[in-house]
Amino acid sequence: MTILLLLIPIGIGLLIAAISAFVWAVRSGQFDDLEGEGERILFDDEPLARHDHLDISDSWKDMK
Amino acid sequence: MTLEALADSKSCYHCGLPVPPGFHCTAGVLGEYRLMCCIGCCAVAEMFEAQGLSEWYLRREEAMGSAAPAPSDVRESVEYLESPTLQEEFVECDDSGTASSSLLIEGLSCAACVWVIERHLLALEGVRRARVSLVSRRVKVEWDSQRLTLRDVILRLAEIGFASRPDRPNESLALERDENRSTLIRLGFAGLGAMNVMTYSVALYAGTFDGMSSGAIMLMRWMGLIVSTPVVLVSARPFFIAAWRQLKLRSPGMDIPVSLAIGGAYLVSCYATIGGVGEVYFDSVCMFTFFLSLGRYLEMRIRHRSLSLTRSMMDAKPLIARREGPEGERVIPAHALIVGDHFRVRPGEALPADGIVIDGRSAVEEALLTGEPWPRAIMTGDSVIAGSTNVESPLLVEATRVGSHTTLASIIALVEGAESERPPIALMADRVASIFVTGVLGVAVVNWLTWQALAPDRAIWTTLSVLVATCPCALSLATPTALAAATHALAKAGLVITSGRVLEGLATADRVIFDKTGTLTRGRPTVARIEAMQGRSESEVRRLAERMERDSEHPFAHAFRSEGLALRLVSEVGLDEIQSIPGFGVEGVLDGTRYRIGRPTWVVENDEGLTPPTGPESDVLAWILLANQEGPLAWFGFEDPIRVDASPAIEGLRSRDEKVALEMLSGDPSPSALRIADRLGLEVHISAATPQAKVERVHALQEAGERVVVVGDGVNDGPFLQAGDVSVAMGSGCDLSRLTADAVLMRNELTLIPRAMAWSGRLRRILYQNFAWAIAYNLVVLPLAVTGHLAPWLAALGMSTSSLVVVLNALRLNRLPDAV
Repeated sequence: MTILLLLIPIGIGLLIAAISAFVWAVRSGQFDDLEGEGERILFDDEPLARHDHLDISDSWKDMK
Repeated sequence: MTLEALADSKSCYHCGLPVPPGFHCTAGVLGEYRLMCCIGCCAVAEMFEAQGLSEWYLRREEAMGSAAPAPSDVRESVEYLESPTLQEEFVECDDSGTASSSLLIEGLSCAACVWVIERHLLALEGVRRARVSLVSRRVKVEWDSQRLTLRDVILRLAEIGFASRPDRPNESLALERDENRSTLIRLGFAGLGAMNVMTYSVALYAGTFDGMSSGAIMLMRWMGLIVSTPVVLVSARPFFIAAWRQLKLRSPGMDIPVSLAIGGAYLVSCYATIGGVGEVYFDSVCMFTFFLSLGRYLEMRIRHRSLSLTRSMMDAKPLIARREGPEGERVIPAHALIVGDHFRVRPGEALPADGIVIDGRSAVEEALLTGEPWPRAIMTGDSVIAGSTNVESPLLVEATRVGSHTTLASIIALVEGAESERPPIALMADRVASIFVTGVLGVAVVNWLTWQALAPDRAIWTTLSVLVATCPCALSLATPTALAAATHALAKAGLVITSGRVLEGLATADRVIFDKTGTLTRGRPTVARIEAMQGRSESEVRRLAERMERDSEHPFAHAFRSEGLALRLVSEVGLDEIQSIPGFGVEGVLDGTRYRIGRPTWVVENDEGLTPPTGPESDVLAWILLANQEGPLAWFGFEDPIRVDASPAIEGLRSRDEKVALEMLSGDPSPSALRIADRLGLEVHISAATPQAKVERVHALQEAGERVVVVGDGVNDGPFLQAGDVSVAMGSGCDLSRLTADAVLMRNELTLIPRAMAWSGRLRRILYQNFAWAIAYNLVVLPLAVTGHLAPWLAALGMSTSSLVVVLNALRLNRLPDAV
């Protein structure tokens, strides 16, 4: 039974850790947009090809 | 526009709008050439392919619904951002040279758009962070201020077809966000605490059956106390505060028995722990707190969702003003205008303040208040309102009312006030609750007294278990879960509910009254007939007309434009000196010949009794004439077509419930109105009704005891819409009606009305089931508690099971079936 004297404080410690993590997550805005974030995990994350500043907007100037 | 409709080969693959005849532009997307409707969509589709974003076409839930803006239009619209004062206003810059801004995005429909926007922005050199929030429709962008400007970011978004606007930090948005966060924190706290307390409680339960040393019992009890204390103090506080308020006002509500149960159980359990006697109920305390907080959280989400709809409409207010001062024209933020300032408004721009025209002759479109697409001609001395759009020529206006004093602002304030009412279903639940409260308290008191007489040492424990057993957990969860699920299902399908009375009202409706223009019909003129004369071909005159109307903002011009958009690319009929004469038409010169298009009496000045062609049963609203110096060239007839889903919707309503009367009430005096009603099978009791007559009709029906649902777009009919027991506004209707209506058909899908009615019937049944279950549970458990047979483990088990049953039952409302 004395093992409880070790286990219970560990349990409480885990609880405090869980609560702190949860509060941090909420405060940093991770729960603000549940729909968008929910779908975000389904996105593919291939490495983005970094292009130079695409001047497509300038070339459209000619198309008026 | 659903994705199935896209499979029809004549729709643009990108936006779903019809491809104009004669336009052939395809873009290679996902391995095949797909039809496009205009250069805007074409360019965006090619951009997606080039950037590896074509997956968007696979993931999206629906087509864009509106053509992508042409790049030249977007470039012009961001010119104003060059001004440094505006840069300060909208862009925050920190010491490390990182600029950040929040942009409001139009046309953001689903998560696939989120993906496409973020990736496209991040691929731009200099962008450091881009995060889209679907719920607030904003994107937060951070970039290197040395390499990019706000304008670049906005143009980058426009490349993929999303129009965006910089956004000022919104107070109500921040308040909502904080409320969301604090409620969620309390909920999570209660949940985590409850789980932890269960560890100790289950040990105690096991001890009841298998025996446990008194030392171990004491330890478990004390641990339960230590963990429950913060839960009660933090998460249960709102209940105590609300209960106290209700006591002071003497209006009994759910919070009183809830607070009694939680507080009482907690205190008595503390007494039991310290004194080493009786039973402890810490697990019940925490679980109550958790379940009840869950109910509150769901209610809050519903409330916020309807608020966000209001907010999205208010976002349409103009941002900037072009103030005319001694130093010339300066672009300033709209809220910096003061009364007496002179400001200019270019064609196509929205007015930033109420005012009087000082110089200029033009027309303004005041759809946001009246819904009328026809602009009102104005000249010097006329008054104009903030939020309306200047359609024809530049204006110089003196501001008479600015900021929060404009007509627009005062209307919005009215609406926001109405928003905070609680839905009637919740009010009904409260009535049930107050009966319940008195009942429970009565039982508890009687129980206490009885036990005092029989065996006083058991009195407190049995009374405690009575309170625990009857804590209205299930009852409290019954309503918000069902409401949340039903509202969510309908919102996903396209009917956004902003007022609680909708669901109940729809379920018990006796009559549905439809407005005609804009509701049963599209409300926007489309070119229906072309009568070419003098041997010209239809496409030739059409191209001519389109070219002349290209820069006009008049709704007739729009009718040409949406169908002839592509012709910009194809033809270049070189017309010079295009001049728009407000109220009459457009004039231009081609190869030395003068052309005019517009009102017949102005186009051909000598009145030779020109009559437009008539046809059998013509639905044509208006005719305009195209002519040159030699004579008339073509007639263009405009129609207001019936919506495609009007007929299936009426059929759906009729087949669902034959007893519901279906009526059309329109102010249109023309015979085509009656023809439409006939075709759709709607009763017409009053034809050519004035707005006043419409309201009177609704009131008369209500006095006769009927429950009336009104469906309309609010064009000149605000009071008519409001008069109904339930008002459903069309998504394309005027802004004011959308704000004040009980529900909005976001995609103008009339077929949602019968579906929503069926669903509200279902909601009522499920609510009754939930109530019945909650009450039955209490009736079973109460005798056990009174006779002292309700052990803590039994109470906890029973309470969580009953809550779970209620929630699962409510979730059956979560998805609207596809069939009408």
